[in-house]
Amino acid sequence: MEHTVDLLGRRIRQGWVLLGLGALLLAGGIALSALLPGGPSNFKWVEGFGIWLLGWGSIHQARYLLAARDPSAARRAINEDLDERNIAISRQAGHVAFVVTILAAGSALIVHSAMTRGSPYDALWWFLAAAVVVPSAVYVVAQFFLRNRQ
Amino acid sequence: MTNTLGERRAERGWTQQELADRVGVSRQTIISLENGRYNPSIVLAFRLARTFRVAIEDVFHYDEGEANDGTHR
Repeated sequence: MEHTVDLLGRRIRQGWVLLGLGALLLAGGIALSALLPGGPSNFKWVEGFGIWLLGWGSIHQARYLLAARDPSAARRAINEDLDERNIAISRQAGHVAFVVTILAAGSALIVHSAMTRGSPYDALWWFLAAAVVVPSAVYVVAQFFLRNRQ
Repeated sequence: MTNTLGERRAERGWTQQELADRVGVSRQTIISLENGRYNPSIVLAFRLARTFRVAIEDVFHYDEGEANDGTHR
């Protein structure tokens, strides 16, 4: 029971962090747009990210704060979090998302290279190249460490 | 791999949720186990067997000819 209470408390704290970060980014995005009209960047993405975090945090908090009212609901919420099948499904979904992200970034890099006639000397080319290379390198290094650990 | 989870649970008159609560998993995992769609880890298999106070071989049966392609069928 103590284990459940600890984990539930941690989940609720994580929810407050998500909500706090979301509110901060939303306020920051609005402030940046107001302070720097016609500035070097469109700051709507900061607001959008903040709204996304607020939505995620709200759903997270609704689930765990409701569960905290009832000990059996709390235990079930934590059981679902620690459920080995749920964890395996999340990992498989994450792997699929990783492959799709690499393919999308690689395709964008190929298309961008073709559109710029192979000139690699622009920021977007380097950004897209990093979006392919860095996650791939992390994947290889993580495989190495995880294989040695298990 | 086949199992007798459903029968053993029914013998004791437990619901799927009650069994899930006893072993610390979700009800959906119990449903998947009983339907044979999910093969548990060895730790969960032991927890289930101990919950029923029987040996692991009395709950889970492995057929020699079965292909081993991970935990999901």
